Amino acid sequence: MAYRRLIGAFAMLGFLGVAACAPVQFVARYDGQTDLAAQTMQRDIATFFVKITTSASTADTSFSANQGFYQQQTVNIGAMQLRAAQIPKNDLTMQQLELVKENLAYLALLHKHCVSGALTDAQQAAVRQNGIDASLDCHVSFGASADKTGQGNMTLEPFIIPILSSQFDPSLGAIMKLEFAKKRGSN
Amino acid sequence: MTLDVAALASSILGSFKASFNTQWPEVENYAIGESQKLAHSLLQITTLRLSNQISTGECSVLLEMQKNATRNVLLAIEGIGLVAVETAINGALAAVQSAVNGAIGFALL
Repeated sequence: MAYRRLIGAFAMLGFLGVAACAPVQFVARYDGQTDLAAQTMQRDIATFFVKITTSASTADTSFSANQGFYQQQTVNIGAMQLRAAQIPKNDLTMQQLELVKENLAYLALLHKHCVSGALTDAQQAAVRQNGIDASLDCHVSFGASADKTGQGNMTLEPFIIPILSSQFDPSLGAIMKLEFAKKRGSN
Repeated sequence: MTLDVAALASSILGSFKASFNTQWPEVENYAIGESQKLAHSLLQITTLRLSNQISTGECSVLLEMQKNATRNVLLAIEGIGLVAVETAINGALAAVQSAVNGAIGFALL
């Protein structure tokens, strides 16, 4: 019994040693690079939407004419996710970035006209698992309704851009908002 | 069929409030603005589908994207609430730090 008490006392001292002067922390510290990357992505997407709505020629709004945008955003969101994963207690931001990646994947599917009916659970799972398909084709493995080649000439209808803006802006704004809260009044 | 954007926003806000009851004061202003934006987006998607400007597939994708956008906002609200709780706990501990440490004889807090 005395031995157990001694062990317990040492355990308590160890706990106090760790806990002493250590403030409680539930959420990661502010990360300026995540904040800046979210701002840059918001600007890139807004620029892309302006291009789609103001281009005189449908050739300029085709997927193939904008393939570079999707390729770049695939790289950008991957880099943001990799960085966020290195920061302790950053689960909420990682979940937010995953949702932005899914929405970029859905944007590519919309642009290439790869979804012909109501999304199935299998399609949603494919989007979650494989992310953005920046190729010129539709692939079931990326959430398309069917495999199709040569979808590069498909266009994004300008009248759905306001809806898309109202989805991406709050999403990226929410990432910035959480980063700002992580400053904890220090700035 | 018509949708009332104010009623939609009110329903969304009520759901937010129920989910974040104890943290509500910290996130209320942000949640009010976001609930209105979400309601407006849902109205736009529904209107485009009812007027056959978008297909069932496009409508389904846009709704899924809307759900993801909503989840993203909810995650931010959750995080802001957690930071507020964290700040409150640390503030409370700081307020009693010198009294507790003085009484116990070492830097417990």
